Amino acid sequence: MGPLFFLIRRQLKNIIRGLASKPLALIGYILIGIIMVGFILLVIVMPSGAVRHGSNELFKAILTALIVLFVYFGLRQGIEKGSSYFRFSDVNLVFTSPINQNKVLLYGFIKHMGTSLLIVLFMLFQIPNIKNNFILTRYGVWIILLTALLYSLLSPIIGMVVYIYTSKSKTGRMMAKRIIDALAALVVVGLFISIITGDDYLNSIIRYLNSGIFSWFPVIGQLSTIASAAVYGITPAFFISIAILFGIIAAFLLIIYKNNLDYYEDVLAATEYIELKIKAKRQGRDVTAVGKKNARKIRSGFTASGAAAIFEKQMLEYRKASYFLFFDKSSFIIVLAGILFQFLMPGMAELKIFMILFFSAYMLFFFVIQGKWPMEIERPYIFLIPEPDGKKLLYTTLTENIKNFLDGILLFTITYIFIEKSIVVIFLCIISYTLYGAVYIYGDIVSRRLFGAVHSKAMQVFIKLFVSFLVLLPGTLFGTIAYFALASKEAAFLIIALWNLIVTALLFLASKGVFKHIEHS
Amino acid sequence: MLVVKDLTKRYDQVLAVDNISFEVKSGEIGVLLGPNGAGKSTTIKSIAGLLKFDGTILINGEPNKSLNSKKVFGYVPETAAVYEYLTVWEHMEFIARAYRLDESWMENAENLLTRFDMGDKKQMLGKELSKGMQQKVSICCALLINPKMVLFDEPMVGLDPKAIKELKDTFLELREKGCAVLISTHIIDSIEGVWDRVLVMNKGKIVLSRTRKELENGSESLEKIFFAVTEGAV
Repeated sequence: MGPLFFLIRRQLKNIIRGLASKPLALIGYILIGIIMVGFILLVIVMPSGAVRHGSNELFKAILTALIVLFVYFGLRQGIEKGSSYFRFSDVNLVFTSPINQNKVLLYGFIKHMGTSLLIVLFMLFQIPNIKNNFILTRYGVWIILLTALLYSLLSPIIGMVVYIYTSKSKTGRMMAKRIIDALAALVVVGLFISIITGDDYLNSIIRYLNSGIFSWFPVIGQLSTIASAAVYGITPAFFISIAILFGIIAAFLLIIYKNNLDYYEDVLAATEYIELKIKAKRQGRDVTAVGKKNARKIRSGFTASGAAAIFEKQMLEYRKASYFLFFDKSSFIIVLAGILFQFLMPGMAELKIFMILFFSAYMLFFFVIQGKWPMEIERPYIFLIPEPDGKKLLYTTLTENIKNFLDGILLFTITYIFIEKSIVVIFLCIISYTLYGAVYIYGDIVSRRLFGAVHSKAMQVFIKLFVSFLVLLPGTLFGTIAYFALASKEAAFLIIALWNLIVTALLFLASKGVFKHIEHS
Repeated sequence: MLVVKDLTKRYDQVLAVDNISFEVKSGEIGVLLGPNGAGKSTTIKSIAGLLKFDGTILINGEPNKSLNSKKVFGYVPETAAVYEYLTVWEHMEFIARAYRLDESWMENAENLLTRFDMGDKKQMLGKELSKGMQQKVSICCALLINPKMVLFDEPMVGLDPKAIKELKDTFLELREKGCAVLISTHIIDSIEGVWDRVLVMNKGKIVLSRTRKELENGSESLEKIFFAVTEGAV
């Protein structure tokens, strides 16, 4: 293990040394450290259930749903790409060296332990939110962190074992995928039956997620039992579940250790995936789109010409990659988050529609900065096509504006069903949401024009967020004031929509001549 | 030194390498030539012990995945990847530890780094290096162990003209020292004048195997023969 410990030790030392040579970064990290310590103290001493008292059943239902989703997607990824604790530098220099493969695996685990601890640290930020809404037991915080730690330890091991058994043949992979999908379908069918037969949507969902069915699923059942001890208190089932999980970890490690000493090939695909994700993250691109190979086969030629060909190209891309029309992963996340927000946010029912619009508009920002427009800028064609700038800009951003409009329709139609019964308000929310998207798109262009020289991706995102916040704030403020002054949601959303429209038009005009002033990224 | 017998590698339904056999002797430079997707990199990765395969690969008489064989071969990958937070010199130190090299590694490392214009970059971190520099570090790591065999996968990509010249000289020196060298490339000109045995691959098979002597006895150039066997043109 000597050379491998040398690797870990030296890299850590160089990271710390690198920080010391950059005082500003060092101050930043010290501040983050102080905030984290403060957070830990705050999390421990803050009262539980101060804002509202969500039921223990709701707590367990949320965590069970999250665990089911994480395990399902983890298994799917395990079948597709396996799992890896390694980087390409390890493949090139460690895998080919005369170091025992078992030791190399142990080295991978040690590296991964560091990542797991980081995940647990970031979980801390969710604790105040949980504590505000639920009454945790004395050890509740630690139990939630323990669940996160156990999951982050288990996830790569399960991924690797699944990959080992399914990677040998395409038929095996297909079979495993079908089994997992069938199980997931059963869970969804059960949920629907529960909703249909129940009297109330939310209560039916909570009852279903609290039912004993999930304890029959290995890993999911144990993690759910452990997590729910945060509100129900520690019972013998808690310790039994921990013992079972450690048993699963030990058994899976033994499988990897004993039966698959030749695992280097099994981690190559996952290592490549990790490298691509890191590259995408550094370039500020959509990390979730990395390595996505399953594109639909579409037979379609181009009928448009000039700048309209860009629009047609993007339409073709959507048809190949999205679930349906413009409905893709980002739509799914925004709609799901919007629905969860509707059910889980405490506060006055009257104000919920505002919160849903603002929250979804905030989330939309992060999807827009990873959307079609930044992707076009990465390629030279948009600069080279001999068409007027305004026309190119219009056609390049058209698909995204349509997508935001359709996502808005979906999100606020659901909101109409559950919360807001005024069609005028819903219509104005859809328009406002679409225009928030337009402001982000054209604000991005203006930011690139004004601050094109900023090379740090994090700083670029911060600038764009700041610019967007600044230009959108007046409309949002006037709208909120109008609501309280006139007691009319219609007036409030009309003001927000009009303001967003004006800002969009101004930003579009300010983008004129953009291709002469921005750089190919 | 390197014996590849009945090597077959399949990815799902795709037969990447189809039952190939060849040898590279000590003091010989073998070249795997072929168009993109011919199976060259898969062959090199199989020999380097990174892939599972059917067939036999022996290095210095030992199976290629045994620790004994790993002690004697160096590998320069197609895409150089170095540790972001290790300095150039620390890469050398890591290799020296991993391969249990004796104290002379430091002098060898100094010489190698100087030769590849990296002498003044010893304290630079991996993340600060350009792609070409990373490739040079990869080459130095492979050569530091005084290998009996070296695998080079498209080694010239990203290198500057001086480094290409140094690398070509290195191939010849390795041959002089009795080291077996296997180079995979699709650029015929890049290995002009250095190879002893050429193996042309196409669609996973070796479609031509010639020694330099055999080729010199004929009237056609390597390039002409390459296109004839890979595209059916004469």
